[in-house]
Amino acid sequence: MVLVINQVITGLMLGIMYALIASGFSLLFGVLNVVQFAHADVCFLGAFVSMAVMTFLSKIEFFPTWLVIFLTVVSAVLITGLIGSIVEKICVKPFRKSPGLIILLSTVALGFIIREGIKIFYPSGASPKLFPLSFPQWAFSMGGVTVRFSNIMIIIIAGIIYFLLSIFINKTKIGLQIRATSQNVEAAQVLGIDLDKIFMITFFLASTIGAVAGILNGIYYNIVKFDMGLMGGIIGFSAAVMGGLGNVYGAIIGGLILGIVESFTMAFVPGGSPYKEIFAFIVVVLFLLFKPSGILGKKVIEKV
Amino acid sequence: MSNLNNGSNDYSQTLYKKISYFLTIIVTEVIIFYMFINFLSSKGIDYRLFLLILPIIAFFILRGNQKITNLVKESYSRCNSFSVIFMILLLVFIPFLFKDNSYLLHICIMSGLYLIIALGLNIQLGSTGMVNFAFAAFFGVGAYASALLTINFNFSFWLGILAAIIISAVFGLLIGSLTLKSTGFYYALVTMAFQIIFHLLVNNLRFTGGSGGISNIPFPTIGKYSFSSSLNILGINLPFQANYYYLVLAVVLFSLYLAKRLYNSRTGLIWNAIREDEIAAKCQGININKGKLEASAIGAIFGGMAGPIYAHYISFISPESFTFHFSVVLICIVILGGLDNILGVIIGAVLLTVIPEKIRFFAEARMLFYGIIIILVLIFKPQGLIPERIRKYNFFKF
Amino acid sequence: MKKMNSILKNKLYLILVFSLILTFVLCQTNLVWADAKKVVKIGFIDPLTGNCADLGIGAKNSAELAILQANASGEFPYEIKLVAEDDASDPATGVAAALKLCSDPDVVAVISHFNSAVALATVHTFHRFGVAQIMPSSIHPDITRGNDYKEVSRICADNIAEHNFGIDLVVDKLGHKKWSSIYDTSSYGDNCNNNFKKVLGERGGILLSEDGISVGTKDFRPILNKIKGLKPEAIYFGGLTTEAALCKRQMHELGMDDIVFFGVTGLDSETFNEIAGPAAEGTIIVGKLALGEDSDFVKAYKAAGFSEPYEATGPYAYDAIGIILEALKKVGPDRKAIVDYIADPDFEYHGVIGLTKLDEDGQSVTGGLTLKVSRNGKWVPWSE
Repeated sequence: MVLVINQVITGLMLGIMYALIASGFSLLFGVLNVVQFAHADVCFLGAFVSMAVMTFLSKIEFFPTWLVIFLTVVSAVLITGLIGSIVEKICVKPFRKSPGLIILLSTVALGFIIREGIKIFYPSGASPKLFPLSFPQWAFSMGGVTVRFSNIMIIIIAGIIYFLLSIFINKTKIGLQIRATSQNVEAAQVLGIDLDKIFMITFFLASTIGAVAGILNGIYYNIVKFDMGLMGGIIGFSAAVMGGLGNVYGAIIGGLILGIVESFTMAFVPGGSPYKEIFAFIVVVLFLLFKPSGILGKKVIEKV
Repeated sequence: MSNLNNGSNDYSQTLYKKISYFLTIIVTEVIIFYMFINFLSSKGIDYRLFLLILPIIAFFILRGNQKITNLVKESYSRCNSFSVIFMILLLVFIPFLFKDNSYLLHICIMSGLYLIIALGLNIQLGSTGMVNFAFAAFFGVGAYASALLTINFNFSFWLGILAAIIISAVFGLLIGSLTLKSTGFYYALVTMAFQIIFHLLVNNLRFTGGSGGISNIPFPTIGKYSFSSSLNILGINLPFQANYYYLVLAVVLFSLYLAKRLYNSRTGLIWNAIREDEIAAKCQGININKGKLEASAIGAIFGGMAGPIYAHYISFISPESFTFHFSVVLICIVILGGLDNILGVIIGAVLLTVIPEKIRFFAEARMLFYGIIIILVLIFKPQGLIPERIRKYNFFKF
Repeated sequence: MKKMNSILKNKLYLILVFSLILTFVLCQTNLVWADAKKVVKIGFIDPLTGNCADLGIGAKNSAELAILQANASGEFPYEIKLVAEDDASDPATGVAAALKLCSDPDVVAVISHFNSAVALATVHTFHRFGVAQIMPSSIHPDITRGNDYKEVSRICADNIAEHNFGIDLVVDKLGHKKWSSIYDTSSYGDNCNNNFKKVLGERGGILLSEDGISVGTKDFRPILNKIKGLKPEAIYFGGLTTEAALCKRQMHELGMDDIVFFGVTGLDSETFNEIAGPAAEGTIIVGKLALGEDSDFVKAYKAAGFSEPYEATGPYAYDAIGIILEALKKVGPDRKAIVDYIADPDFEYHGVIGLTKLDEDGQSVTGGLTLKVSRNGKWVPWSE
């Protein structure tokens, strides 16, 4: 039982990372009806940006450590958001009139450009990088169940992000416009909503959330590598599909399920740890077969 | 009297025309062939690459000339079979040119294999509009199936290739049937998942040799003749790669024929209809599910066909040859060449296999370049190098 | 008018034919440009990109250093050149690179492959072309022991020797009998695990659990949680630095510092200490040879000004080139003569890694191994 609870905790951590990435996928799909496949790469780019910023800031001697960390996180998140909106300009805007699959192709290609770009242009980017930030090592144990400070912090941070996101979407004017666009693009356009602006803001938003996911990932697993975005992208996309593409809350549930499935596979299936992704994909395929619209997704009837 | 005169005049006219057609074909094809040979045998960026520019400039000068373009077009449409036969003759000649350099033959074989797989991908991505990220996996399924069967069950290579085709078709059908109810994104997702699962499985399973792969895959034989022995034609000793070169050439020609027939058939038309508009196609009474399943199975067959040849040629396979990256390279080939255009796929496959071998900085940042190529082509030339042609139904010839 | 057309047509034909002939003529000119000074090439294949790139580049730099010194010494009447190819840790790429080198008649011998999987794939190619292949760092036993190719030889210790060497210490001297094994499912990790199990069984150790992980795994907590419940005295890690360092780091987080962490040469890189941080303390490994800062090789490497460290593979690559250079001196630039020279049972070479002597399989019986332990973020040689 103790083991199960410990595994649930580790699975939850992984699940939160997946969920944060998957929410980005869902947010973008909801508004634009496209899959931005390079999203996970943008997320991990966030981690690399924060590393670069941190190296730069720690050269300025008179900054206290807490300020360095604060500035690092804030600027990395903002820069990644900007990169997200640039991605929209390069890879999505020219294809807005083309079939959605063209955007999938162009963003898959972009993902490769980001990954290989990091590998080639980041100093010795081919090898895994030790992430410079980490949470304090506090922990308390109760009957064998260990809860660490980092676990609690990650849950709190994820909670805050989703709280802010829901306020932004539901309470602000731009949020209203985003919701309107996601319901019906033409009608939104008729009502005078500036689509270019909405698309840019959505990309900014999704990428900032992604940057947080990338940084949390670096903090929790101590390591970032240029090619993490590939698997992260496929699993994040899967989680979003499981939850129902376009539904952010569904993406959270999908991410958590996949995280826990992976961690349980590693612990309880004999010799199962190399196959953990396979078990995750089997769950996804089962969902596609029996509930193609996802956990919280609505059934879409295509109209001409 | 005058009639007779006219007749002989006509006759000499047609003869003259025929000869000029033949000459045009011979000259253009020899030029293209020569460019290809130069391109292949250049070392890095050297003067031979610059020589390529000469014919290209000639092409651009002559393109403005209506007479010449008409002549070329006419000769290729009138003497179609001659042009094909002549090109095949030239290709048959290649091993003799490279008999001292088996590495160049190796590149030729690899580009032939890439071409076969890309033709399969073209059926899905180009004709039907299904984005498939698992073609490296189909290739791998074929390679592993044949390698395992020949090693463990003493299948011959030829039986192995047959089994590989059947097995990959089954996988294609399976993947296609999983996503019949949903949109293209889900098909893309399932193929990605299949690609990853395939790689993880062969990387970790015992009987596929894990990441160490399978080595010492037997060479194909015809009767007593083994493909590992050097080929002797007319007293000229060709390296052992020549065997595979001719095998690959035969399979490439067969696949091209198949692809062309499919493109011109009703099935090809149905695939196009599905790509353009599923609902409209449905309203025309087209069985969409059947069309999609056919595309997934037939596309996979092409991948499965190339796999065994690769496995038995290199005589070693490992999971690293069948990764997601390779799938994206194949997509890049099809997009660069031109969606749903067989000639385009040929050009894309040749360019993208030879260039990384030639230019060192390209090889190091290979995937970066492929990514950039895909995006640039999609933005600036979405039809690819050779745009899709409007279908003609007045002649069905190859 | 018609005449005009036909003339025009002829003219354009002329241009085409002319350009064709020009192309052809220019192509032949390379015959004139050819060689001034004779060049002898030594091939080199290692991962220069991909996961193991740092190790491959370290080896390449060291090989270049050896060749630089040879050319500067003036002992050779020809110029020696290193032709470096990349195998990207991928067997198929490796075979293509091997084919490329073997097809070049100037290449007299090849130093190759960090990854055993690649080496296993290419030995057949080198055998077929009769080119001497010296392996500085791949360690799968079958590379030399699984065939009877006399072209193939290896100057480092193989996997079985490494495990014997290490288990002498941790099981017999330190007395850790209860083990858990974590290994990556690459062929390297898999072999490590198999050889570890075999040697451990012979020395009377008990294996409580074994877990395979895929390369690139970053979360070991689920497995470690499970292992913690089994209460082993030591954990064996069969794999490479990154995963091992993450595993050790997470062991520290889960309060498993009292469990000994042990591995073989795959872990021997300062990257381990860098990633694991303070958690690395006390890790025991069987390391490749540790060169002092004052050895000639290290000094020369520093003086040559390479930007990358020479890594564990460097000295072996340097010696491998040294062996080929010696063969060139003795028997001249001839593929077959070099193969015979190295396969000679009396062959001996004294280099950076000490004495190299090959058995009938072409396997080095010496190959400098050292036990190392992590102290204060550095690997230091083990002392009692």
